[in-house]
Amino acid sequence: MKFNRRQLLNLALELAVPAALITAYAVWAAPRNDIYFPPLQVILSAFVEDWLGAKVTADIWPSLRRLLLGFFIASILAIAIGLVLGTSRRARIATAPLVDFFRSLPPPALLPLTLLVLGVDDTAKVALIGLVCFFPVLLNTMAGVGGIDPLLRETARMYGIPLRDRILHVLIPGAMPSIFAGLRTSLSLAVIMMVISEFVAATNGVGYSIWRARRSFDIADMWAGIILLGILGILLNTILLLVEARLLAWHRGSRAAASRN
Amino acid sequence: MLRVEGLGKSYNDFVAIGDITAEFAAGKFTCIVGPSGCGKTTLLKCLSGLLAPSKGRVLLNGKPITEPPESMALVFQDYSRSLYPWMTVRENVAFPLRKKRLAASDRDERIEEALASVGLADAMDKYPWQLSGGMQQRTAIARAIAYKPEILLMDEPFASVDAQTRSDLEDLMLRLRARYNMTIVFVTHDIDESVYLGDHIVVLGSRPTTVKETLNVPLAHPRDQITTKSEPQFLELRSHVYTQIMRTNTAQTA
Repeated sequence: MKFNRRQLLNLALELAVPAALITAYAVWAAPRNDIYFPPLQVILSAFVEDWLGAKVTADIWPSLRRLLLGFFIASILAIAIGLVLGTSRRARIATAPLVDFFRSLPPPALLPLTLLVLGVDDTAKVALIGLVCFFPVLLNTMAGVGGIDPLLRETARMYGIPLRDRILHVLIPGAMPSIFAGLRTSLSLAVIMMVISEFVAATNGVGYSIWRARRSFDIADMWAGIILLGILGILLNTILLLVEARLLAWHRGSRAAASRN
Repeated sequence: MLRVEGLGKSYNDFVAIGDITAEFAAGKFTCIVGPSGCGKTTLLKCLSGLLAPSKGRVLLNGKPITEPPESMALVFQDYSRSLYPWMTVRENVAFPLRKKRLAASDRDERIEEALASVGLADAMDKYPWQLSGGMQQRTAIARAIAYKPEILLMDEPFASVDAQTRSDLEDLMLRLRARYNMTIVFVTHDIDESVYLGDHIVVLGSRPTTVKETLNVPLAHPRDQITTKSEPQFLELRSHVYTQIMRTNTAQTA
């Protein structure tokens, strides 16, 4: 990859601000010996000790598994249902009250119920994570299908494109830019829900580790867990953006072409 | 043979088409010309089966059309919105052929032939938005030709390209017409274009639209932008159609 000067400058800016903040924290925290804000090197060594060893399989993997399972199952369901609701006005009207009710419900409110019904194992957590992921993807898929140019759909009708091809090659790609907007929202909500569900009822996971560290007043460990969550969030989002950049190259290209004209 | 009988289309109180009866002879190039806002696009959508008429009917070989028939293709005016931006030129042309279940070699041959005949052999792997407007419309035409329709409907296909591209595309249509035996129904508001391209011209009046006149164009083939357009017969027909359309306009404003 080749960088030009402006890109290099932007990259330097991007790295400089966090670096400055971290340095400021190190300088500020070092002499204080505050129990809640331990010196930087204490946090860092806790991070290395905690998160680069056995905890990768013991805690990070279980958390990621819950998150990804919930995210993928919910996204696939939401895209499928969104395609139906986006195409059929009648189905949309029939389900509108239901969709409005559930999307207005803060998912953590369902935590006690799912724990009771589904138990404290992974099923309950995956279900909750799935529930938060479901609605942004559903609503964006519906909007995406609705936003497909009517002329593209008329073209498909004119050429008698069979339903299967219409779904796979017209509706899904046409709605894809909007679907990805939903996926990005969902992914960040999924991380939130993963942590909350692990705070409340879990025997492993990143959220559980933070909670346990807090209870045992292991403040540096708690900080290390928080930092890890931030890094995980950035990584997941970056992966999603890379997938999006690949799948939606046509979208960026056509928008750039449209703005040139 | 394609025929409309007593066709009318209204949207609530708005009468787009009053009463149209016309016939589109098999293997002929028929231009529909009329003042702007006279419901040309509506008529074409009814012809294609995309839109149900409010009264009257559209008959294809004696059978009424209710859905777009298998044997028909339509080229829209707005090329940038009728090509799939996530498909390459080749994929766009190939898309309607999927259901025909052709052998791969047969299908590729059709696609390549169609793209070559519109002069896009080198742009097959580009995306539509990487092409100029004229090339995008050529892609849409290639898609229609590869489909091998018996009837090709075209809705002001050259209205949004520049003048030079427009005459290129007009000549392209004449070549394609000579090469493939299709019935072409070509809607335009450009009088010169209708006379230059058509074997027959259906002149429409203003709303509520009726057929003012049906003309034959006896100009010889092959036609040429310069010589054909300076023939006395061309000029005569052109001013005749012009007068017809102007008369409707004055009648409307009076």
